[in-house]
Amino acid sequence: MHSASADEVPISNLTDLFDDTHTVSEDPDIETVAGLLEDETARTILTQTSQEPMSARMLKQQCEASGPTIYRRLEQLRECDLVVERTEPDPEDGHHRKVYAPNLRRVTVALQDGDMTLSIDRREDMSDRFTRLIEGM
Amino acid sequence: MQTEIGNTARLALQAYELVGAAFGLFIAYLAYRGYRRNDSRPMLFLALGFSIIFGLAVPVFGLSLAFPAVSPVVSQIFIQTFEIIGFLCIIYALRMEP
Repeated sequence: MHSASADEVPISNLTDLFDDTHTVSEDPDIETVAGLLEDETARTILTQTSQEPMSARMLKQQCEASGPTIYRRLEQLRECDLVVERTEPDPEDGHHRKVYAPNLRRVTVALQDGDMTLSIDRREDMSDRFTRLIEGM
Repeated sequence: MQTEIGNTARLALQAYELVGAAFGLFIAYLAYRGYRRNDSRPMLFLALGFSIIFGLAVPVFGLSLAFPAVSPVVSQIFIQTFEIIGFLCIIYALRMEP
């Protein structure tokens, strides 16, 4: 994250995105998550952004999908809290742009006693936590 | 005979240092990954500092096998210089605005 982004976005918003309270939020239901994961564009968004945060424009170069499709999938992924949005300075034109990062490590479906439950493990990556620690100093 | 034992002990100690180096390099790897994933320049210099300080044990171990005759004073100056450079990298990373 660059310091300039603090001018545009209040610090509290930025920390909210990485707040560990995400782990206790209600998990979306199986239909929603499975339906999203069935979609190739949604999967590509998750796999590509897991390597580095990406803007919608960067995602368009990676996915074989139209801009509106990518935006729709991003919105659906955000509704399920599988992806988070941040603002950062654009190295190309100096303005700010929105980048997306996954908020997901593992999805588990458990079958027990006549119940099928879906749980989402959102623990933060070790290197991201390390970065937050150093940048917060 | 006496020096033989001394040499073995020295090699064992240096091999043990490699274990510590492996953990240090793991931290360097985490920092580098943090730099890549979050575009954070301080993490790059942190990774560089950790790599220099802890990664040094590996080539030093190799060099001590290749040139056993080099005086400990020379190798100590060599190691110390790189450690100082590594610490300066970390201080620079911490001073930097993210």
